[in-house]
Amino acid sequence: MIVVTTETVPGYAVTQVIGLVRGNTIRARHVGRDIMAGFKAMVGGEIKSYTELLTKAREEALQRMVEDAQRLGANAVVNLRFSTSSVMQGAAELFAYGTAVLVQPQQGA
Amino acid sequence: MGGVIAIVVVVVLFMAALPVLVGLQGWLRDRARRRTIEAFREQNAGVLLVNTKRWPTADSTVAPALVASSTVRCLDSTRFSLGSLRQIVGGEMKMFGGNMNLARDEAIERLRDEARGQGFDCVLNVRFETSQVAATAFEIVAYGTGIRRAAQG
Repeated sequence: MIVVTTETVPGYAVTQVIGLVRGNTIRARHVGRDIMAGFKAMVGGEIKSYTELLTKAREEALQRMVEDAQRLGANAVVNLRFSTSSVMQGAAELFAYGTAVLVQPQQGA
Repeated sequence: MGGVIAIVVVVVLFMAALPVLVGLQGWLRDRARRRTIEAFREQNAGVLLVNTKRWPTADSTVAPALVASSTVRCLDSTRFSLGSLRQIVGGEMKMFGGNMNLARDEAIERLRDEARGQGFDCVLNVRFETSQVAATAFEIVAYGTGIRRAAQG
């Protein structure tokens, strides 16, 4: 599965457009981590446990989008976009979407 | 005296049953929504959504126009409370995720319906916007540019 953020895949020609695919996950924070993050918020800087948490969640959302594309018989997803939003206190939604297409390598590219 | 006790018992039973009833009606409503979305999906099957800026193989045969749809959703209080328990230990909140997915399905089908109503068969550059509008409610907006593809797909 080729996943790119551009409209076309360089070196490949789009032969068929399949349509929009998406994947999401909502993650809750952890009370224990919250306490540590609270301390961290006093001094500023990167909150590593949250970075890790959100990175994993984003990968999960991406994976679900790819599964959606595979289910529809695509071999590439173009124009991938991520969006993150807070849906309630202490929880974040990670959302990935793109356009599933069929591509094949261009001759002489 | 007996009458008072009976009233108290009824009130207590009602208070105990209320969260269950609230959760149940929410669940039933979601099931009905899923069915409605399925019906919409069949009806709108001709409208294709993509989030690329242009259709790779053809131009529009009619003047393009903005199409947009939105939905504001919240979970019922019982499932909200149950889902919120997740926050103690962390991890994926499946109940909220499912609700969000359903809301997005709804926004997507409304977008396709809107596009179909305006005589388009494809929506380009589809974007999603998610925002929290109240403590427990969120809005999902889907918007894009409707076009009509040339004869070939």
